[in-house]
Amino acid sequence: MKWLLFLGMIVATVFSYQVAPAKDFPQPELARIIFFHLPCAYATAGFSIFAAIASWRYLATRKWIWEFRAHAATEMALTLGCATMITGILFSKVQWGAWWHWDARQTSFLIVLLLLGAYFAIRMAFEEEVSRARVSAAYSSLTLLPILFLIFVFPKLPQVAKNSLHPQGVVAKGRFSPDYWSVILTVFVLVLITAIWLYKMHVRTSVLTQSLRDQDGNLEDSGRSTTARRVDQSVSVHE
Amino acid sequence: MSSNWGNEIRAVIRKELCTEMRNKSATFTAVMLSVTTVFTLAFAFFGRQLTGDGAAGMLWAALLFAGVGTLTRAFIAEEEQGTGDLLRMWARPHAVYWGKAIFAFGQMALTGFLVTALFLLLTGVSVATPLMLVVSLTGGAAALAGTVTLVSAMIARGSNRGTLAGVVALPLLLPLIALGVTAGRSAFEGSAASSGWAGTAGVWLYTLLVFATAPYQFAAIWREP
Repeated sequence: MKWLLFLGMIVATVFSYQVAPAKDFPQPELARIIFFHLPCAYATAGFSIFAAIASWRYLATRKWIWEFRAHAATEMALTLGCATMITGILFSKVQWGAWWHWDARQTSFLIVLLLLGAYFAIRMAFEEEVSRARVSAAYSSLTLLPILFLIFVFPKLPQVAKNSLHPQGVVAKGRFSPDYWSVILTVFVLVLITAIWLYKMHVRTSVLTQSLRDQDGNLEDSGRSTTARRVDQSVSVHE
Repeated sequence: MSSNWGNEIRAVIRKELCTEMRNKSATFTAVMLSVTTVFTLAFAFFGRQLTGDGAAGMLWAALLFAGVGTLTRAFIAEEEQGTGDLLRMWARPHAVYWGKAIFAFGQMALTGFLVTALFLLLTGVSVATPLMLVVSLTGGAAALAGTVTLVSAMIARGSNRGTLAGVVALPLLLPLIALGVTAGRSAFEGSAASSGWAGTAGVWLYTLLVFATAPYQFAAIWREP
C-alpha cells in the first residue's frame, strides 16, 4: 500500500510539471505549489470537521472508539494544516513578495491551527484517561463552529475579501484549465488516501493499546484478589 | 436541593456574589489587569494619532486579556478550595453553568465599560456611533463570559492551568475579536455603518451560539465519570 502511494505521488509530481502554468498569478510557473496546497487545505477542513463530530459522538455515547477517532482525526488535521501553512507561506513569498501578509485566509487558517494545537495542549494537561477524553472531546466539539466560521465564512465576508491577496473565486469560477484541475484532483485523492490510511492505523493502534491496558488491568485485579486471599489465610492461621 | 432551575441559578449567582463580596479579589484583579493593559497600550501609542482600526483592536485586546486573565478562575478556585464536589451535589450542571456565566457576564460588563471609559479618556479617541459600541461591547462581554466560564471548567483539573487557560481560550475567542473589531472600527470612525452593524450582529450571533452549545458541553465535563 505505502509503495503504491509513494509511486502515485511521484507520478503526480512529475505530471504536475507537464501541464501548462495557470495565468492568474504574478509567477505562473511557481504557482504549481497550489497542486499540494489546495488538497491539503481541503483535507484539513474535512478532518477538523470529522474530529469535532467524532467528539460529539464520544460525549453522547461514551464509546472509546469515538475518542480514538477524534484524536486521530485531529492529529491528521494538524499535520495537513501544517503542510497547508508551509506551502501557503512559500506561495506567499514567491507570488506576493513576503512570507507573511496578514492576509484574511492566512490569518484565519493560522487560528484554525491554534485551535487544533490547543486540543493537544489540553490532552497533555490531563494524565487520567477518562478526564482527558471527556475534556478534549468537549473542547473539540466546541471548536466546530469557530472552524466552520474561519474556513468558510470569514474569508468570504465582503469587507474582508476585498482586501485579501488570495485569488478570489479562482476555484469557484473554474479559472484553472482542465489539465490543472486533473493534477489538483489526483493529488487530492492521493493525499486523502494517505491521510485516511494513517488515520486508520492510528485508530487501530489506539484500540490495541486500550485492549492491552484492559488485559493488564484484569491481570492486576486477579493478582490483587490472590493477595487478598493470602492475607485471609494468614489471619486464619493466627486464629 | 432546590426544586427548579430558576432557584438553582439564583442560588449559584448569590453564592458567587457572597464569595466575591468577602474578598473582592476577582473584580479587583479584573479591573487592575484591564487598567494596566489600557495604560500599557496607551503608553505604546503615546503621541501618535490612533485610527479607528487601531483603537478598536486595542480596546478588544484589552478586554480579551482582562476576561481570560480573570474569569478563568471561576472553576479553578472551586477545585482549589475543595468546594467543587459540594457544588456538584447541590445543583444541576446546567444551573451551575448558567449561574457562573451570568455572574461572569456582570463582572465582564462592569470591567468592559470601565476599560472603555478609561481607554477613551487616555487615547482621546472619539466615538462616532456610541450605540454601536455599547451594543457590540455588551454582546462581546456576554460571549467572553460564556466561553471563558466553559474553558475554566475544562481546565480546572488539569496541570499548568494558568498557561493552559490562555492557550485554550484565546483561539476560541479570536473570531469574536475579529467581529468586534469590525464593529468597533465603524463605531469609532462613523463610516461603513452597514459593515459595523453586520459585525455587531456577528458578535451577538457568536454569543447566541456559545450559550446554545456551552451548557451541554459543560454538563458533559462537569459530571463525574
